[in-house]
Amino acid sequence: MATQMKAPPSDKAEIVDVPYAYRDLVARTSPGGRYIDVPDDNESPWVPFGDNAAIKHIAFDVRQNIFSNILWIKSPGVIGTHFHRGTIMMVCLEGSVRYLEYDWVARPFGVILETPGESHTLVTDHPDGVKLFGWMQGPIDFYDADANFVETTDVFWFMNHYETYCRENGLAINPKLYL
Amino acid sequence: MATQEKPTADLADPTHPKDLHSPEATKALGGMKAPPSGAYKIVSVPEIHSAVLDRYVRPGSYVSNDEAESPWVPFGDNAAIRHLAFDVRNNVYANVLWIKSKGVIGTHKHRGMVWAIGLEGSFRYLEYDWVCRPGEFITEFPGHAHTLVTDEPDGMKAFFWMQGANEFYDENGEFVETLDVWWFINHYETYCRENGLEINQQLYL
Repeated sequence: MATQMKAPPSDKAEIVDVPYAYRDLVARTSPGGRYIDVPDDNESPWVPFGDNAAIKHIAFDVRQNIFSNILWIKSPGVIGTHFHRGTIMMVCLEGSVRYLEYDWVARPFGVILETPGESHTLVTDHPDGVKLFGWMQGPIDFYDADANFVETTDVFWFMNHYETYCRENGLAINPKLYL
Repeated sequence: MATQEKPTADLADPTHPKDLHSPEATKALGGMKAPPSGAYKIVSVPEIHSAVLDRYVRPGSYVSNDEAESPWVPFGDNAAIRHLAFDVRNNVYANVLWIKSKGVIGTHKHRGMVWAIGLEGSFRYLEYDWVCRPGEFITEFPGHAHTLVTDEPDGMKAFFWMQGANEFYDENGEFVETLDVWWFINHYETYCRENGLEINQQLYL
């Protein structure tokens, strides 16, 4: 039975009915995959995060403390030092970004991985700032410029950030953002 | 904010519980040698976003030993599974496996991670040199294929927390079926339906 697949075994542009015994159960119990039309601000608005940044929320998962969004810093600026308790994956979409702690600069299509226990200070020196897609798990502890702990942000902080803005601006909550 | 006070949840004007995190307090981090409170009482934890948390937080589950809450579902003639949790978002399933006398759960290959603790009797894998007894702990990782046996006259019970797909093979190494969270849900629900038992929603995370 051992075969080695070298390429996708079908290149037909047609739906193949995959044999699977529990399709009804999946339909009944799974939250289902979905498409978020992120470029459409009606799907999810840009919510201000300070004067020079905004967050477009994409996903909230309260079972795993996962939150996904696009962070937009509009011109050269800083997201102050924060400490991660979980795992992060980010993709640079536009502009560039770096951390004061590291020696690389992320450019569009560059991928950033962060792991629990790391703290760092996000900076963009790009005249047009940066847009970053992030898929984040676990809390993030934010500190002020004197290293005083200020707040731990988690999925509930991000939900509150999104819902408060929607409420204040008369926007409907988008249920597609809730896993 | 005193920890005994219920924190205010004024979302329009959130105030940080800063005095819990004063420079003196944060400099003391790393000094905790034991739980900082031994008070036999509920302490209200400061929660700025309690309105959001109260609305969306996923409650934990409790499943007692009562078979009315989750029955032993036969898995072949000499084994049974007591289902404890199904998580369709993560393809996670937790249960107690009971092999009633000396016997084998045939060779299977994991595509995800497994945590297990022995509860009664003992079990081992033909592939490894250890024996898991009550209170003992094992992990298994993606790519592991192995054959579970118990050599005890009274068999074994163990708690398993499993993530991802689990492929079963026959004794000639021919692939038979991939088990996932929906196989386990189907195993549980089919038995309930055939025996007129109510589905326990606590099992669905």
